[in-house]
Amino acid sequence: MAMVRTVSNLLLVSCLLLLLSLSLRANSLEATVEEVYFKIGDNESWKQPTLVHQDWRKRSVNNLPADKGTYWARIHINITGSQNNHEAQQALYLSVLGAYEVYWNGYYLARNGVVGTQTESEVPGHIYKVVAIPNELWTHGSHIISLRISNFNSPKQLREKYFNVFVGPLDEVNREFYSANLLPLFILGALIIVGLYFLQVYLVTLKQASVIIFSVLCFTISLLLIAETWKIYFGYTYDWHYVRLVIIELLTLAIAVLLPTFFIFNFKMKFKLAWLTASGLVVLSSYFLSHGYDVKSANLLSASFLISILIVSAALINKKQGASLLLCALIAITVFSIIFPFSFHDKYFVPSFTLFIGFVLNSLTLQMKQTQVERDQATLTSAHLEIALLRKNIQPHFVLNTLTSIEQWIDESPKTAIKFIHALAAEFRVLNTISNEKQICLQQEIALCESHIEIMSYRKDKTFVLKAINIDPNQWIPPAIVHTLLENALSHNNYIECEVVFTLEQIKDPDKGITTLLLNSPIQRNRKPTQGTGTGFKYICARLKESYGDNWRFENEELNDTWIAKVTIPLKT
Amino acid sequence: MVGKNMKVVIVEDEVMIARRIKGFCEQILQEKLDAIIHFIDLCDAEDYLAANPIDLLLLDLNLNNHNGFDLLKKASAQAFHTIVISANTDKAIEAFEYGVLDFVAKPFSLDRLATALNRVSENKDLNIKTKFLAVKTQGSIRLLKLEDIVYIKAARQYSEVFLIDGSIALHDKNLERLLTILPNNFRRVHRSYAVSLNYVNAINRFPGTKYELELSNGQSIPLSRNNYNDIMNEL
Repeated sequence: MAMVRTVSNLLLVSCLLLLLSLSLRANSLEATVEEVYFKIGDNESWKQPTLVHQDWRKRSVNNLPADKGTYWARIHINITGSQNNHEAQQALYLSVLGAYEVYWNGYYLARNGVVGTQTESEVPGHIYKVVAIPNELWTHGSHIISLRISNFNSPKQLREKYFNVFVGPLDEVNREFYSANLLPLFILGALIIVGLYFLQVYLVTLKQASVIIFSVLCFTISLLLIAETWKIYFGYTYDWHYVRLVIIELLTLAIAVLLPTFFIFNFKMKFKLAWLTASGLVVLSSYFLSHGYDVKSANLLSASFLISILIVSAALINKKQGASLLLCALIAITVFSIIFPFSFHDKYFVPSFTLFIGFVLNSLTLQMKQTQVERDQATLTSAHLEIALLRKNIQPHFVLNTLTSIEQWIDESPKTAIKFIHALAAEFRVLNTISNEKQICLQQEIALCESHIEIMSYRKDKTFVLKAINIDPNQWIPPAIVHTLLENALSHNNYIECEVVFTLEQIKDPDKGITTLLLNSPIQRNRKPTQGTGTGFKYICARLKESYGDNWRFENEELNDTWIAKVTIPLKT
Repeated sequence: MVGKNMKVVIVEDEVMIARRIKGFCEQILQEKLDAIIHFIDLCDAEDYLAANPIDLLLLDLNLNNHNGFDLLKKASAQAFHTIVISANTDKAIEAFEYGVLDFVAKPFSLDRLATALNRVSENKDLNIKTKFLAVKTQGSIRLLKLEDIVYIKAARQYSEVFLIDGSIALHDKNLERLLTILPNNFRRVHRSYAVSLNYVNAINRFPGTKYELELSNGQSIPLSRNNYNDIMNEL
């Protein structure tokens, strides 16, 4: 409610101000620039308003003098409207590539730099100059403003084109300048902070390409802002103008390339290379195919937005988080930039881009949260697996049954009982060393398995044997994988024979960089199907996923009277 | 019946433990033991129990990852007594609810097993936790809640269980064995009758020192002179 009231109040105030300014304007004199003429050469008398200028050339696109030298320009202005007692101070805004002197109806008004007759004697003028017009000269009717110009330091690329002039109240000229550029200044500060923050995020916690690209994007936009506003805040002599335009152009190109690149990495797109190539081609062709600085900038950004829309749409189709919001923002900004190509770049690019950065920020923050959640989950899973591994052998059921068996061995054969206790101790010792490891070498795994089947041999009063074939003792494997498989075979079979042999074989495939572990166990089934395979297999899969992501396979099958379990994992690692 | 010619079955998948149980049983029961048979496999044990009358089943609850409770439910519906010997002490309460005679935790001593085996011949234990009676009906096992049982009548080697809803179930255990696993509110009132004291409304006396119990379901059952004082005190 309060929000609505504030907005309506603001609207009311703006309407009043608009009416006020219109009414003020109706009561004062207004100047319009009618024609601009120029002539190469230098003659003191050319400043006179009475001069006949038949042989002067009328200023149009690309027809200023092509060579270095001295020339004169005559600006015809017409002042209309009625005289007002409180006439505001009027000013002439000039932005010309040269050093110049300004005359009003033949009277000397101001100069910018020192007009010279050769490169050495010229002192380059400031890129723009605001000249206050004395009130007594500001009268109804036609006036001639004459400029004596030398352009010895002007860059070839701009020499024939660049000439800006307008007349208006001094306050307005200044206000338009500074108020329009206050916002970019705020934004500049914000962008630098955001860029620095994400740079730190990248360096310290989140080593993701999208994070560093985003940081670079923020810094690039900041540089563009600095380059754009340098003219107003710091100024420079006209010979630097071309350098600044080139810098702006290159920064715009960089932004146009970075934006789609950011989306490609941010949404972890498939076919990255194809997307990168496509967006690079689109942006670069728009760069080389368009001419003129403003057109080029506008086209670059439009091309960048369009390819970004494609990328984000593809991300949306693949149901990537945050894609829908970004797509809406992108479409809005693109439509806006196409409808107002030039004013967009001058006035709206930075604010709308900042808004857009806000959306991206939101998306990145969500992703960071997601990553954090996943990381926590992984830590939790690892902790659970460690507990699961320990539980396997200290679970009360296992220990109590083992103790009962030991009691019987103590009565029957104390020597065997002692061996049994040693086997139990050996298994606990191995468990102790591996329990907080995510991977162990196969040698340790086999030691664990051997002590386990020795325990089971004593418990069941049978001889269980583990035969290892082609084993590379240094192969890495998550702990208790084979152990779990053996345990599974032992608890789901009623072995009747006195000797039962399990075989563990390793098959290497160095070409693919993988290795397969095969465990063959004889089947002597209970007549009833057994339950409880679930937890063991879940443990195996969770361990493999923890170490290898999706880069593993676990299969098991029954063939004749053998149960075959196959675990395929990366070689060594 | 207990004390002579006992037939015992052990179901245990660990050879060494089975050997221990067998050895202990032989020491405790000595000449009272008629036969003792050990099964590793649950199915083999079930087949044997279906065909051969025995007196006592010693059962492990976790056999090669099979759930021993399946066998326990079937066993408790049968004539013989069951003693569970298991490392899964967390399952003890559940086991008692099915009417096992005792639960022996592994590892166990000779004395502990002796206590359990003696309960077979003892008449009553004050601390009975049975909650259900398992009965066989048309091939499946039905669990009767004890609070639904009004009275039990001996029918040769079986027992007829009369329920509050008016239905009658037949249990394979004889009345004496049933009373061993039933809690204290079930009392012997006659050579052929036991009653749940919860359902007794009144004692009616008839000429010639004949007594009857009037039950809350409207039925009456005979009360013998020997049990009269005992029941009178309880009510």
